[in-house]
Amino acid sequence: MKFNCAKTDLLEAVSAVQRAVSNKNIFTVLEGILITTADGNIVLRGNDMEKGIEYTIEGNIEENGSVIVNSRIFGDIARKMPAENNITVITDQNYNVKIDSGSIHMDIKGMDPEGFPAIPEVDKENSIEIDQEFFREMIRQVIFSVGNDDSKPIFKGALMESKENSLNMVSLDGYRMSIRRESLLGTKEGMNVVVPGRALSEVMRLLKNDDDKVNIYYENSQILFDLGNCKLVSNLLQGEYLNYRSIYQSQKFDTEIVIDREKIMEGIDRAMIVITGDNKSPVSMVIENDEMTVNSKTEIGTVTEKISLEKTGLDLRIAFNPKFLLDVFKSINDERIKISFAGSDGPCVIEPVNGEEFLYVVLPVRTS
Amino acid sequence: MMMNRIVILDENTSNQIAAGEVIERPASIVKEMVENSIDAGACNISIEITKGGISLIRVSDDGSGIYADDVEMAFERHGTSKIRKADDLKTVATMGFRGEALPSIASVSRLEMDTRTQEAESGVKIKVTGGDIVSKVTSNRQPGTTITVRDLFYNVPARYKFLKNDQTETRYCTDIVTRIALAHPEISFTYSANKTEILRTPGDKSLQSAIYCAYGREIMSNLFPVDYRDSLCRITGYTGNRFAARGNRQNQTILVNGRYIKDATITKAVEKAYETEIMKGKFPFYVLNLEIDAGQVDVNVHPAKTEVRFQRGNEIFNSFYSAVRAAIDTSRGITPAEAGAAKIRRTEPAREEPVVVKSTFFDNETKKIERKPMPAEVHEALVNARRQFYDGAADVNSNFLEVSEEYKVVKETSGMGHIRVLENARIAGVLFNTFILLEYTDEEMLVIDQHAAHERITYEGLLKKRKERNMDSQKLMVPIRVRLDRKDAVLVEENRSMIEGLGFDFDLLGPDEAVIRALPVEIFGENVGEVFLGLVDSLEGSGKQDADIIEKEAIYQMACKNSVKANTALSDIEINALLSQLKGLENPYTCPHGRPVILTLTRRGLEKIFKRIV
Repeated sequence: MKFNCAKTDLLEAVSAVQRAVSNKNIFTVLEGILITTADGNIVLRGNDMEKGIEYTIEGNIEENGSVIVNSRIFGDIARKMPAENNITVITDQNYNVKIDSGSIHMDIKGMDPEGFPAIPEVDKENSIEIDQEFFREMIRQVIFSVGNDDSKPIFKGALMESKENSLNMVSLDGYRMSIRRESLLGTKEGMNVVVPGRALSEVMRLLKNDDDKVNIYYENSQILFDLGNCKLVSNLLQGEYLNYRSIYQSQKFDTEIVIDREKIMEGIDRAMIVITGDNKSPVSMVIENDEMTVNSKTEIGTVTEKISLEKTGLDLRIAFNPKFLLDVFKSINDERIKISFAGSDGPCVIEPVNGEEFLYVVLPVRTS
Repeated sequence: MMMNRIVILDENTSNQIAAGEVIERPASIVKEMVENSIDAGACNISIEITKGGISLIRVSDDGSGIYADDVEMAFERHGTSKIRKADDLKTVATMGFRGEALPSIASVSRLEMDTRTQEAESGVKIKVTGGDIVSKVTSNRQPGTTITVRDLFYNVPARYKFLKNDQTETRYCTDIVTRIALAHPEISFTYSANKTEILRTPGDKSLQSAIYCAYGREIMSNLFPVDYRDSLCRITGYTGNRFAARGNRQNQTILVNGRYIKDATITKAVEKAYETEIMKGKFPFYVLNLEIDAGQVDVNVHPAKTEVRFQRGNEIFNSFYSAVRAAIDTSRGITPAEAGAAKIRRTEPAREEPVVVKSTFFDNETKKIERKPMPAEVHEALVNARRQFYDGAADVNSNFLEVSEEYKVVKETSGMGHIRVLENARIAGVLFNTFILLEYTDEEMLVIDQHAAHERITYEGLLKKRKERNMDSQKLMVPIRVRLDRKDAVLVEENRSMIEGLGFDFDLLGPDEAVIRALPVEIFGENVGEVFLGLVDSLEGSGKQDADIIEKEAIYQMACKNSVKANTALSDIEINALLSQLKGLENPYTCPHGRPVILTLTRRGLEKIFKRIV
């Protein structure tokens, strides 16, 4: 194999596929990146058996072939070569790899590409098309409440489901839940898959902030995110996702407030000043008339802050893990938000004042 | 089948059988009666108790039954069909043989026995009250025996007074039935307490099925089989990996020729085999049956027959050690030849056998390192170091620390002097990411176990919080299910208000499952099920102590989970924070379980060790 390409292109490709290379894998081929040339393109692939990333770049190909290179070493080479020169890669039949850039020459050992696990093909029958920017925002707004508990593997992923003309994404970790809805003309009903949180984070990193489209193809056990020159295939989590609507739909909400998002976010953040280290004290809120008093008290000190709001329904006293609230408030862009409470023991729902783009459910801390 | 007719033992024989009280509590009656059923060759035994067995115990079987003519004799002391003369004691293979149980039980209760042999055309039903036969009539029972014991100790108020509450007595009964069911997988047992079925085994001869029925599904994936034979005996059964280990020895069952016994030697041998495999304070799960020539073991040590005496106790120790060690090694894919080498390691320091280095217990990846012979004390030190790694704390009693008498464990009685030392000491370094070294003026050094220190800090913090109010409790969106032993479920219910005070919100979903709806914020991020089970273990281990101690033990369990583990690198800032927190404690000198937190060594002591001064 012999090819020549721009250093910036190669670096971008290597950095992308490295996200699907495990560095503590026991099979050494999985610590590698597969480089293949075909049809005038240079294709790099990484595969950690949970997900695979394939990145295509352009270059001058003199001789077709393929090789596996160590991900960390090859990544460092791509990173440290001077930006202004092109990089030439040549391999021989013993998989020795020569890398040249201007006056710099390096030789590293490669591996037989045979045995590199193929990234699964995903059937193109079921698909959804969405703007990269929108999709990235959707992931950002649910990714923080993806679960992390090995005893509940299904919650280590986010549910993606399609309704007629809309796409929903849901995540929950046992204490809180995020639901994000995006209306999407032409979407067909029927998608219902659980994508591992780790794969979604990688997709989020790969997505660009522009109106290029991402095409999502899914079947029973795999999902493909096709970003054009970059493709990510992930295993899907198997199992029944919780009937998540039941968590908030049957509740009776006695208190409803509308509040400035930034004010409450900053208030919670300030209340957390006295909650340091491994202290797990909750932050309490007293809602009376048109005012909320945010309060936190630990051995270090106390913080009290009053925030004005519009209230309908009953007065209330409630407490939360402040991190849960902060995560939510950070992920929302709206200026004002609506919060509904079902007593001091029940779930609390955070939504936009108008519309139904997102919905968060957070469970409180019971204090005495 | 040839029936053994009942005869009265001659005086000489009965004198050789140590007299003793068989009946302490309902559980002892259950044990005696079930063992009688087993000796009668029953395939199905059903046990029923109400109010902890105090108001009713009923054991029915489909065994051989008793001849109508012999029925009265069964109620005379030493009336037995199982042995004839003292010599038979040496080879006794039946569960019972003293001929003491039935008359003793009958003398302190209202007893009814309904029995029929296979050959008899009808059964006979006899009522005995306080030892006197009050009626005897024919019955239409199927072959087998049913004995019903009511109103235990109605005529012995002194004994009645010593019974514990119903739930505790139920727990004892459940325990003994479970053990017997494990000992006899060939018999189908049905056991219910207060009309609720607690245990049902299939009687399919499989120990695995019996364990499944007794401990639930989850245990099954954490077990591995033991099958060992040497010239003395055979040991079979199952033993658990570290995930099956619990905070007390409740889940350990030793059977000798199918009889449930307790034996310190065997317990020690098994735990020795597990050394460095599971954390200190955790005890392995096992059900092990020893098959040994009846002449090698004396079961007539104690009337309840839960203790035995082995003629060759040392060899029994070795056999159990090797059996379990081999099972552990086999589960990791080491060949039996190497497992045999492990046996040598116990008695003598390592020879040339490969050391097995493991990242995690029982995974498939095993590295072997060839090693040169190692002096005994180095080997011992290595074992200690490894133990400390798993343990997260130093063992003061180990030789490792007694190398020098110059070291002192700082105790409460040492006064407040060392707190002042803490304030002014310089951090000299950290050893093994576990022990903080401090230098004080130029006269003294201190060694602090970071895990024990943090445990103490967390514990006192939680205790203080709990004193002020109930613990804060995070509600769960998706409840967590925890599988419990049936007897644990009873225990959890008994201690509900205490557990809720600690911040758990739970319901029992049936006799062996709990669902947790809220958890203490302090354990946020921990494995909730594990913490809950740890708490249950501490309840179990604490017996009949007062509520305050049980609660402290439970809080300790939480503190333990929540503390910096040994082998975690701390920054200087973190160390300083730890020291200043330590200073604020009521008792910074020992962790809640009494392990030392601080050791001290003077410069003079150090100079002595190096022979600079004598």
